[in-house]
Amino acid sequence: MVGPFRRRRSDRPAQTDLGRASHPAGGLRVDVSQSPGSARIALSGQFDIASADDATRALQALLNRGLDVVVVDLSGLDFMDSTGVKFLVEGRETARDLGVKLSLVHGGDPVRRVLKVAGVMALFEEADDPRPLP
Amino acid sequence: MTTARWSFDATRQAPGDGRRAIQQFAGEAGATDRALDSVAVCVTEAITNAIVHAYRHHDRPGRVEMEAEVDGDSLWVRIRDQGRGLEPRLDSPGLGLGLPLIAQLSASSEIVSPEQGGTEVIMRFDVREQEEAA
Repeated sequence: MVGPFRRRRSDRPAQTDLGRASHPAGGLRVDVSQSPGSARIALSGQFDIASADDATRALQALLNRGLDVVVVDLSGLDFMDSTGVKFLVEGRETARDLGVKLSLVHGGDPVRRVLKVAGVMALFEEADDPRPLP
Repeated sequence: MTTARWSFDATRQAPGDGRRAIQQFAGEAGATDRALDSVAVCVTEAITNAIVHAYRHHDRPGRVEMEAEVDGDSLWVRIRDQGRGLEPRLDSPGLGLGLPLIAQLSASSEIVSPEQGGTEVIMRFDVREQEEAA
């Protein structure tokens, strides 16, 4: 497979748009709520390499609070890439090491699809109660 | 046939900028929601690869070029950098899932190491892509 680009390597294609992209930022919001023994970290927006470190720090800090249960809520995510998969897999490993039950509120189809294609859907337990903590 | 071209600094903001640009382009070409989701993940992963592999040892961010072309029901996207290529790293921020996700979510893909250096990821998508039957 070489595609149309290669057929015209030495012959620039006609363009309808040329230049630098200018788009509004599509960041990630991280909300943490806690009740005795449990906590929820809710992600909304777009999860990629620009936000992965902040989200990872927030989850790892939560897992180290000595809680019994941590719920990761992906239902507000519009987009997630492989850095989001790493965030979840590392969170699962930390939770297991610390004896914390980690479960997910799954996201929409685009997020589920990435988890499915990455082969990690079965690693995560679905949260018993998807409602937000008080 | 419609084409467009963009150029980004290889920073952590570039995958999001590229994703939003290609989604707008593909959306204007009539791509289905499913196709838009596929393109978003694959473009994000390809640009992220350029950031974390190609320019890993550079003091200043290099450039990532993106070119797109709609030809019938096919959307072709090329991501190109001028860096060191897909250098393996054990601390990959996406668990090394980027290329497998591209392979699974695009209709076809190819990685090229041009004589002049750098790496090109060429991907084709079906703009009429529909969800698989359950």
